[in-house]
Amino acid sequence: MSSYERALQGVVAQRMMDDASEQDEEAMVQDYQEQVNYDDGMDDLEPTTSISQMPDMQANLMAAATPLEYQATLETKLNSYDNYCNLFHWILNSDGPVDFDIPSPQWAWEVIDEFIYQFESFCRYRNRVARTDPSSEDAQLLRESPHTWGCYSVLNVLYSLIQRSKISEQLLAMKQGVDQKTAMGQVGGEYGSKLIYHTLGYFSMIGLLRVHCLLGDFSLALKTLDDIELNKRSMFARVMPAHFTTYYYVGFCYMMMRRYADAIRMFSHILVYVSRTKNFQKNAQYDSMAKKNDQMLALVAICVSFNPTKLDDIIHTALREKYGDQLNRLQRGGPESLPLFEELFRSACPKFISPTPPDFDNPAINIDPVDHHTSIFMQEVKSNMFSPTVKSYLKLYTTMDLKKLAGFLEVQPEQLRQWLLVNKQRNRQVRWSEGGLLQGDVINSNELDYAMAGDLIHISEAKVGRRLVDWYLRNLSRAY
Amino acid sequence: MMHESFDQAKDRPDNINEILNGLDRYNPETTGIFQDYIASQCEERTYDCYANLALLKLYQFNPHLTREETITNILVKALTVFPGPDFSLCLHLLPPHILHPASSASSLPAAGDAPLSEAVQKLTTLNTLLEGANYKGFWTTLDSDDLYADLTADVSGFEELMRVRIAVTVGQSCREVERAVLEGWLQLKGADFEKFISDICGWGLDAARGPPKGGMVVIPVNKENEAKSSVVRENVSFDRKFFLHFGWEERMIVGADDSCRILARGKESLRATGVEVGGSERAREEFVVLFVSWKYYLLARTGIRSEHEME
Repeated sequence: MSSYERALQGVVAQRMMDDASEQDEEAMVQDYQEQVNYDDGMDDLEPTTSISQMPDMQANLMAAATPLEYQATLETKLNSYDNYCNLFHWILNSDGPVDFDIPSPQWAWEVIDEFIYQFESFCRYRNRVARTDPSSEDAQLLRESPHTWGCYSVLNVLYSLIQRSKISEQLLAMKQGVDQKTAMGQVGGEYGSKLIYHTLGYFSMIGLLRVHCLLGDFSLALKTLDDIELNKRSMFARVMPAHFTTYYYVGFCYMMMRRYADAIRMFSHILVYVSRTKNFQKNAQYDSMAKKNDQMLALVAICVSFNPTKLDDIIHTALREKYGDQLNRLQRGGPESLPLFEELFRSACPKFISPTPPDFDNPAINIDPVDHHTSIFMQEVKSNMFSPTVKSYLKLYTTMDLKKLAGFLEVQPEQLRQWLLVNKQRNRQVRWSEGGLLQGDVINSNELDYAMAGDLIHISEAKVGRRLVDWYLRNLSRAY
Repeated sequence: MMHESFDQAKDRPDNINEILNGLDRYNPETTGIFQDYIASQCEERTYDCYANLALLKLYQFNPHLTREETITNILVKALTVFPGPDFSLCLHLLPPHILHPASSASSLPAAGDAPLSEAVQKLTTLNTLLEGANYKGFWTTLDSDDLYADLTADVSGFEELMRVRIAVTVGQSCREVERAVLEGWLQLKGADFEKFISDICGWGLDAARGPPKGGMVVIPVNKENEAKSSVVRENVSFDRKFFLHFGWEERMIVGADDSCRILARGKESLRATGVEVGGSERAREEFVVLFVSWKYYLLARTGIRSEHEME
């Protein structure tokens, strides 16, 4: 039994699904058999299944990369799920690899992207209907199809594509210096040597990053990218939306793991890249990225408020233009900043989903997953909200008496001691230096450092040497 | 510097490692194995957040398998490693209605949710106190309700683990602490207190100092509580920030020894001193600008190299 088959059985097999889903599976198998029967006559002549023999699949393959209309009805969405099932079933479970030349790597990205997007919007729609309109016709339809767009099926597709294509093995070989073609030929095997499997498998990994993040599992999301190197030579960098998406989700996951320095590094990388290349982007593509661009700027604003950092000039300017006033308020901290943190977080976070169907009989318990994750994030913001106040005072001294400072701030010394401890702890952060994304070293991320000796606070500052590069760059651009 | 990888745990058995790295992490049949594993973490005082998150994910996907006491045990274990992100990461994987009882109170939630919801609320309160460094408040709250004792009962040595953790954060921030203050933070007094700070923490006690009758706990210097001033030197690599800025990246490669090689779009190339220039007339013009600015850069950066050296 191949590892893929084991995975299929292990992950989706009947034992973990109830009866209803078995029917789904059966329906899928039946669909599949119908297609096979349709081809039976030709199969005798040709061993491989060819795209030309399956006119339906040709249309299906094209449809898979095409967004649904915004106004699509629920029925269309349900049908679309069936189409994806048929398509992936055909790609994965045909007699040997399917023979289809993909137009470009971008096509594979679009298939995976649209697949996950439809999963995401379906789950959100289902949750919303259950919460706000549980007696509607749509709700009835949704009740009857609890396994449509199930998270096990979606994950199964992504993992199966990864396993079939042996993409992990291929990437490992490429890490050791083998080029892509050789890796596909030597390591990819029967399936992975074909571009369609290679690219679908690759983008499935990025798809997993996204799905895990949408489900709130940020550490697993980062773990799925272990085999992909985040650099310009990676395949995702050749497909702009993939490049963009990857960095957004990696940055967001880092932020949720409180690794703000790493989050800023990710967002900065892609924002600078976009701003450098925006003249080369097709207009339509750029428009769709503009919104995500603003979202990432908002996340940068949140992260630098927690973890003051010198940003790249371009980002700094963009941030000032877009969120200048808000940034000041965030950086000032305190209870007044909380609504703003929440507003920015909500506007910039991914559209979280819940993996299980909602409870149509208890509308009130179907909480919007975005509310859920926002409220957990806000607890962290609250714990930290006085750090900016503390820092702004400490900056002015080299030693300071705790009671005196408490007097300035009009709080009890005990309260101030807590704030100092919190701020000190939050300055310690894990920061990536090499290896997988989850690795890192614990560092002190702030220029301001201090220690308490009884009631005396000793303050030190890491001074930054002359910044010649910036000076030079500024003057050079002026000289042009 | 402490090197960490979130997906690793030093006491993790091989079979758990195998499940976590394979697709069996989604297989509901492994739920039992993970449940036993968290039970052993509670007993043996080990901790493996990454594995516990995998169990919470199984619950997230298969709500009917959920075991409430396992969830609370995972959360209590996550408290013992505050102020890390662990507790929050666990909360993210819990069903949303557990955390938001206010909205579900009116209509009756699914049977059995109420106690779990209350337990999670209580533990979240503890977590908030700990993350806010309100250690005294943490101990007071812990003693204020019998439910806390029930919740933490399975976690062997919970109070001691918390004391050690608090001591770690104090050791990072303080060189000296008044005895009375630290007693409150650790909720220990008298001989127990003295034993804890000397045997477990390795700290000293100076009875002669501090406020009247008090005494001062002296924490030896470590990297964290040293708070030493330093000067951060600018470190910029050529090929990234500098050349990206002008979109030259693809055409210019600067070696570690500051030698410069320019790869223009064309194929032909022209050699200069330590420099390879290629391409059309236009590329050559560009090169001159580039080369001059590169020299400028070196001048600005080092301030000592003469022009001669650079040519």
